[in-house]
Amino acid sequence: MTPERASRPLVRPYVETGGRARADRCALERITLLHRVGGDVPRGLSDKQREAMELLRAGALSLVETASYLRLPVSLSKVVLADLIAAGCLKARPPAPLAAQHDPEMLRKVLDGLRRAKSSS
Amino acid sequence: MDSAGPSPLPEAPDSRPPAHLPENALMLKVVVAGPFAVGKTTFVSAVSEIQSRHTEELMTQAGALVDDLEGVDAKTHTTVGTDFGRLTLDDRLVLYMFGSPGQKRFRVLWDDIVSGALGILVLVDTGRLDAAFEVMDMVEAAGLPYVVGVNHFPASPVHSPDDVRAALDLPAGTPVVGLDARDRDACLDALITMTQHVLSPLEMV
Repeated sequence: MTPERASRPLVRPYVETGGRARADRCALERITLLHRVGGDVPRGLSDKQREAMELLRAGALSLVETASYLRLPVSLSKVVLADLIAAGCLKARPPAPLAAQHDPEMLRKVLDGLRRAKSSS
Repeated sequence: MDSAGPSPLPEAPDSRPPAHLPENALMLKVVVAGPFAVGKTTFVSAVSEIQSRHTEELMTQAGALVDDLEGVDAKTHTTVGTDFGRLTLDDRLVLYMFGSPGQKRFRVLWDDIVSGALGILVLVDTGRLDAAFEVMDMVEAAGLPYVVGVNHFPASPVHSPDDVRAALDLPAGTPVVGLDARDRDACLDALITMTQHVLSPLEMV
């Protein structure tokens, strides 16, 4: 596919992900936390995958943040990142489960954190 | 190319290196919903500890999110932008805020953003309450706890919470809070009200 305007970022992703859709990306959510495993970056990664590994070199980030730095739609980022998880380069930590969100103790922690964030506190 | 009211992009979106999170962070999210130009981006920016960020989603004519890249032609697709920010609440808890267009034609994206959220803050403008009807339908259908935040625009009429409740036909007991989306503390108060609204029925058990 030849993009009409090479500067348009939305055309590149199709090249980047090679048209693949993976089943395991379904487990990934916007606020899934991603972090690197091991020190070395394997050979043979795509540009976007190398970029993702570089972004996560200094610590963990949410999937949506990673997507925004990669300048890719979230749905396409999931394809790129699922491959890295499958290859053992990244680990994914799921968000707080609904049971935890219905735990009064945790909700009180959320309230405390919000109150602390206010300038008057 | 069609667009769902593009939010203003930060001038240099990638000017700062990413602020990383601890690997054991427990992630939560809330949705900031509301009609176009009601102040969702402003709200998220006001509360966020990072420069709020933007993602563009690509959608097919049928309204599906593009994730399979066979035969995709950008000219036949719609892009829809969302903004997000985050706030670290303590040494482990991190709260994400997602601005979300509450339009039925972006239902797939809405479902993805709303799924698993703690609750929804719906921003409305009293000068354009009719613009909130479509969003309210989607919020009601999501089945999550929600609070209505009246973003005060100087040119808009001042209505009491009860008036807003009546105009939007809200269930009794739905919190309605006034706020200025540019004022961080006022936005935090709205999130506090929303969290209390999630918590209070659980404490009565």
